[in-house]
Amino acid sequence: MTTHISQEQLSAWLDRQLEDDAARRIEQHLECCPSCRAAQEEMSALNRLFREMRVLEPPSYLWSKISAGLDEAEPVPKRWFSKLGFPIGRPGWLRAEVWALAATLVVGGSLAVLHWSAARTERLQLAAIDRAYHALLPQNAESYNPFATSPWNDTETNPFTIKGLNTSSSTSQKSLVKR
Amino acid sequence: MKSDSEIRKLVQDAQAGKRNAFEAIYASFASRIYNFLCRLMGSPEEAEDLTQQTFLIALRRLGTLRDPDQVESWIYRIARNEVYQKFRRKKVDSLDEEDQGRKDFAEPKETRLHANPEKALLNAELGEKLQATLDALPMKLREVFILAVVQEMSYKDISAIVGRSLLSVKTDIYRARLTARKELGRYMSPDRRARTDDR
Repeated sequence: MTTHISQEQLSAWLDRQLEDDAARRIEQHLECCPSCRAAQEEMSALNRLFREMRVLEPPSYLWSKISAGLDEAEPVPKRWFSKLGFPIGRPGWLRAEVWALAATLVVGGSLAVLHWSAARTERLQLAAIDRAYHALLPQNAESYNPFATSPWNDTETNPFTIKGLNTSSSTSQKSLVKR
Repeated sequence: MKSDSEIRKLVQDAQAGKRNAFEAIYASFASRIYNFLCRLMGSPEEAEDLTQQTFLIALRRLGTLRDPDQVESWIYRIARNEVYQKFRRKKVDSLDEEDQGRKDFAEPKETRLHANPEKALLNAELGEKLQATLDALPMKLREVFILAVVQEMSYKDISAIVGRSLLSVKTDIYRARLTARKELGRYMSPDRRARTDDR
């Protein structure tokens, strides 16, 4: 029994909160250790002071007040959204309404996002096709359009036109084509 | 003090809606809860309000209590929650008001004439000093110290009430003892010191 008892352990022993073996060891140590016994006596004196504090009795009318309070409806605790003026009464309804609102917002929001996303994808795809189509066409594609309705005598657009020739020669060209 | 089986029966009756069981439950725990709140708050007026609030909540919500054997710890937990809520509200209102409330505290006067007036005066002074010592403790230490030393509750029950581990409760009670011992040194005269077998 050379090591002293820890003060924390002594405190628990005073409150009778130690297992039997631990309590017995402390009691044996206290019998032969004056310094630990002095510490124990100080703690015991402190306990006595507080246990001698007068027991106060609640006022006799208190039960009447509680009983009257029990007859009244339990007040609904104020929530933050009640300050916003939502016409919500009981907590059960309150929770149901809030959940319904939240579910509607989530579902509606998801649908809107999906719709917007699909429309955007379609737009992007069409734009990509359009770009690819135009990229495949040669430069100044309209002048090579075989379906173009421009007349052969249009010297600006006709690739076979030999610049500098008299336009009257266009008749002989036409006859060549016919052959 | 009623036995555990009597308390269990009372709780079951109250859960079944028997009104007289409510009053019996109040009568069983009111004194301990009121004393706990009185020592914790340092003000009989605040303790009265909080006791009323605690029992209103407890009796209204008794149907939610699953284990009737835990009714005492459960009521203590409600009382403690109410105290913390009150402190939070006070903090919002004004910290000065809380200090003022503390200053207003005085031990309730003895109604009967004391045989020895000098001793009565000393006891009143000691009572105020003890309450001032409790008030000076941080809330975390004060609550466990009152439950363990003044109300002689087991560490296991205290742990359930304050929601902290047994080890934490044990350490906090020891730390509170150290602080209180420093404050009350001059009141701990040798004649108050107990024998080794007296805790």
